[in-house]
Amino acid sequence: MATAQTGKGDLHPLADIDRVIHAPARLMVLTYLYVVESAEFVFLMRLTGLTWGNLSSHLSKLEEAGYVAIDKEFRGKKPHTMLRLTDEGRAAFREYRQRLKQVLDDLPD
Amino acid sequence: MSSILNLKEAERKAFRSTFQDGLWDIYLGLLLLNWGIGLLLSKDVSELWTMVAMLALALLDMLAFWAGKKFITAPRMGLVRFGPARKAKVKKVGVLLSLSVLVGVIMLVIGLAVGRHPPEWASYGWIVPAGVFGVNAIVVFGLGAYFLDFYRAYGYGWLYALAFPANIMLDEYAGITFPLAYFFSAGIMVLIGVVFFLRFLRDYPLPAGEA
Repeated sequence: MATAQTGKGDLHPLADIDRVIHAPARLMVLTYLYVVESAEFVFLMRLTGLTWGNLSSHLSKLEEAGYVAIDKEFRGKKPHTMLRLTDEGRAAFREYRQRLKQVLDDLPD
Repeated sequence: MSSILNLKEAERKAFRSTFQDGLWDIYLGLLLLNWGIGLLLSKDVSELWTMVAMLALALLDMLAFWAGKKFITAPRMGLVRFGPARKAKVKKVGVLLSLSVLVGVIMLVIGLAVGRHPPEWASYGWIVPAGVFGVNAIVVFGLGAYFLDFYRAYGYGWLYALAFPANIMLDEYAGITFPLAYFFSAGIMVLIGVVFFLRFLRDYPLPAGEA
């Protein structure tokens, strides 16, 4: 069986890309969580422009993958949902970014 | 895709969003307004009571700013904790502001000394404190704008810097004793802040679900 050779313009690394991260909405969420220590659900909703339900559903997938930790905090009597990237999520995002950059950089003009 | 991978820009956007409510603009404008109110008061009451009133007003401004952030902005915009790099930048601005206050106090002392016993070489004694005040404001606001990505502060530095000499010149050459320059500069800043604040309230209503 012939094996695909990797080189300039080869798109095979794209197949290995993390599909949990690759969805645009989740990529946006992870990007913002990557650059801050932690953020409240509402803050992320405002920044990404996602609706409540949409953001919730994407966060559930990211939490299932172990990329995002969701902490419920109380300030006074009010509940706050704080979100942060786990170490695993941080590493996965770094790897995703590196891989995608490599694929895009290797594409011919 | 390339923009979403620009992490610096993403972080900047996240941080800049904390200035969308216009509260900083209003707060800085009110602080400048206090100087104008102080000058008005000083015509009728003693220096000590003027200082007390200015301090009380500054505390009131701070309280209003804090309450606005806590009860209006935070429920609409949500909370965020930034990373170590941003925290370090904010700390730098804190140090700069402290230095600025120190320079301000020294300038005030020099101003009082020059004002009461003007030396012969300084027929326009007010130029010294006005210059120090102006340079101080431009440098501090400029550095603050740079480190905090709060670009409107560049303009506010100039408004602060010009208010002091403009007020003295209006008094000396046009006979206008009302602290017009302070009210004008502060008014611009408060007005900009109010526009941002109203836009913020319109764009970010209280979220319906549980946060």
